[in-house]
Amino acid sequence: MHIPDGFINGETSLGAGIVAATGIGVSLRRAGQVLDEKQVPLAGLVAAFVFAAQMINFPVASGTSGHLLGGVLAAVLVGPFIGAVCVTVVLVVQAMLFADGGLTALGLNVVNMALLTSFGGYAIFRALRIVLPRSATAVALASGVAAGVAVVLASVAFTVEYAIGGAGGASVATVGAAMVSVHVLIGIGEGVITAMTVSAVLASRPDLVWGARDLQREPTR
Amino acid sequence: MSRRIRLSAFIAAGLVVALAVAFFVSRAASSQPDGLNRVAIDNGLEQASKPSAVDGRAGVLGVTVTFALASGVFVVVRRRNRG
Repeated sequence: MHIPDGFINGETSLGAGIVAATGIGVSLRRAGQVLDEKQVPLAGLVAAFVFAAQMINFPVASGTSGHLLGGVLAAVLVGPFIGAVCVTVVLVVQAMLFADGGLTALGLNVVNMALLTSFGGYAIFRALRIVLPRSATAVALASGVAAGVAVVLASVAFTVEYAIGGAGGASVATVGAAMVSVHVLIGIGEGVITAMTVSAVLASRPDLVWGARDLQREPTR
Repeated sequence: MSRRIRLSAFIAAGLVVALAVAFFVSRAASSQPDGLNRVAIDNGLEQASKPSAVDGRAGVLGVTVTFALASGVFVVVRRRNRG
């Protein structure tokens, strides 16, 4: 899902860069306001875990793989503002150290994989929590479904960016249909990994799960 | 209520899991192009997929740098907000 250099033209990349910088700027301010002491190492861990998980490409169709984006996972564990920053740090490290995702496409990649998944995906998670029962199982289920939908949203966002400033010759409809169909499959993988990881954290330290704070009966220390 | 593991132990265990995923599990990862690369190749937007530059050892470096950078960013924004 990492856009390389040269896929999307300069104007569109710059526009996405401005959106990304604004979104991350707001997120950093809010993160500074809501971070408590124990969340600092936890947020570092979330970023590190998302980096590791993004390395694991799983097969989804013949000759095609997918990997976790991790935005919803991060948002459920540490909240959408801190979560968006965590995924952005991952994208910056990948682009700067490993040439995974183009430097000029960093804004596009932050919009698609950090902002859209953390905020859009978290909104879906909250909506699902309202209709589902108030339980740890429901938190894991809502995380998984929201994560899967967020991957499809990211593929739609890429299609929009391609429609605005795509440098290739293929039609928007062809690219969009191919992107969304393959990312429905990748989204299933994203959902399963997200639900399992949230379940594991809920089983060991439920008080650390931002999206499940309402399940805590007593104040956390 | 069941006893909780300490936060420091939780963070340490989580880091061990992340490093192990980066170092060991990455060997089992698919080397096929991901969804976006596949669409790009199929539609002539990209010539061929380049194999991932991140092997196990680079992954350990990436996990470590990511943890350090993210923790640093959050320490700074928290301090700035309080100061």
